[in-house]
Amino acid sequence: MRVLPSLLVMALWAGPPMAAQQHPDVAAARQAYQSLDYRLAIAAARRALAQPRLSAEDRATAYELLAFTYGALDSTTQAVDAFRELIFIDPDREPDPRAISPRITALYANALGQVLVVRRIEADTVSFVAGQGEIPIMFDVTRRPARVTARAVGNGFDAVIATDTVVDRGHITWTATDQLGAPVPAGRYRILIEAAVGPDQYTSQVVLDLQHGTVDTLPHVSSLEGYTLQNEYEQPGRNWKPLGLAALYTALASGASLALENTNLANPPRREIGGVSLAVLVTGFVMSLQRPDSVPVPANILYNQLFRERLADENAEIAAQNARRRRQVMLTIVPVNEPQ
Amino acid sequence: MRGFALSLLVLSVAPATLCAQKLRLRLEAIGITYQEVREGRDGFGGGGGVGAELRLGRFHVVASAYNAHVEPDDTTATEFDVRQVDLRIGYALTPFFSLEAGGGRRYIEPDLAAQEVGLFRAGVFSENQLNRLASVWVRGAYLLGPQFSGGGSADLAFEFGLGVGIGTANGRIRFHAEYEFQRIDRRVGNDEVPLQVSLARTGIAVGF
Repeated sequence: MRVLPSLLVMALWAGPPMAAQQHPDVAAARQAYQSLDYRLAIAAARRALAQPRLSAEDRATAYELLAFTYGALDSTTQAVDAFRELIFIDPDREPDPRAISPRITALYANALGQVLVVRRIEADTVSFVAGQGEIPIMFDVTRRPARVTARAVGNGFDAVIATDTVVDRGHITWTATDQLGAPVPAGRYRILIEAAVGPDQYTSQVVLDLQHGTVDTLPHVSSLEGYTLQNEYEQPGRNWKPLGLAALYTALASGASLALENTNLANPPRREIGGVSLAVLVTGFVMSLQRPDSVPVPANILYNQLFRERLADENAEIAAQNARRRRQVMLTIVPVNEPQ
Repeated sequence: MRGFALSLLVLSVAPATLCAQKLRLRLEAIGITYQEVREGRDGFGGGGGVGAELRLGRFHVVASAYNAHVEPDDTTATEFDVRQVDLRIGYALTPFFSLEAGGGRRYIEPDLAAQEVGLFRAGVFSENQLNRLASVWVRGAYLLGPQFSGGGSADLAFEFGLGVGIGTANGRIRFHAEYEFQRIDRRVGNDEVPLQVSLARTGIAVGF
């Protein structure tokens, strides 16, 4: 009756991955378990666990083998106890439900409900301006409701960053600033997440590397999208206004002088008025043949003036913003995989 | 003569102190037709002149002086020199229209060869730019209370002017031609002894 579940377990689970440097007793336990020699597997695992210098990885593997073996032998209590020890050592290590018998995973779930641990801590790499952002940290608490206190510790900094009552999934944030709002020094920090339910307490941690950097400044703008400078002068077409003006002035002056000559005097030769009038008319004619001068376009000048004022305002705002940015610190926080 | 010399001195000294302003100095050739009631005093001649123009905001000041040698039509009459200084101060009411006031003094050498005249003037001046390079102007003025070396008075006295200038766009160099017509209906007692002068000047001006 007991062989069948064991075979089922064996069929579904190939066992934990072989470590590179596994303790001989742990390796023997694995070998015995895979050979369905449960008695030998339990003995070898117990022997391994009796070793004071057994690594955490080997210790976790030994408890896992022990839990699976007891589960195969239908020894529920021992299996759950072994799983509890496994969970304390490595809370994130759990049987793969796709490869493990549901009965084993049920035993694991049973053990998980009996212990208080913080597990599945998740934090992603983030970058933000000090005082304007935070790093989110998420985690699971196995018993609920749990009172959670999170502390950030490192580089002479030690402060509680969050306290909360968590049911299943917890979420805290760290701004990486001190009480005055200044960024904490660069370096390695540990975020200790302590969960408490009644007298039971459990503390887990996530290690973060914090780096300081400069905040990028904005480039000044030389153009505005959708706006272009207009020509402030335009070339009018050729016209005869210069000649007209010259003729008008000539007629005015020469007409007046001729009309108002003193008739009591001899008729003057009028070579002076003739010569100057000719000079005026020729000048007017020549100027009419020239291309007219460019004339200002008031609307475009006003437009460009407003454009430049707007550009200056934009750049002044950018300059002020850059001045603020130069005083700011860019924080980059990178989670580090460090054994607990 | 002393006044004429003083006027020339003023014209020569003023540019040194005022060249920081918009100043233009002129050098010009003169052609003149001089007429008095007596035919013997009709004559034609030529000479040279200098001038200075200063523009300060809406104000402009024009000072000029010339010296011309006149040869009477009557070959038996005495040739004489005409030396005249003029001063005009204008105020622009619009960009094209100014009020002008000033005075003038005409000297004759030798004395009594023709009438020396001193006068004040009040009139208008209009200048219009043909383009960046050229401008034309006209002026007209009533001559107030002209005084003559031979005595007498004038009920009607006026002058007209027409001019054209062309030069560089920056105003540094400018050539000009200008015509002035002056009529003074002088009366001595009951006798009418009018004066009339037609003057053409052409020259070059240097702007600062």
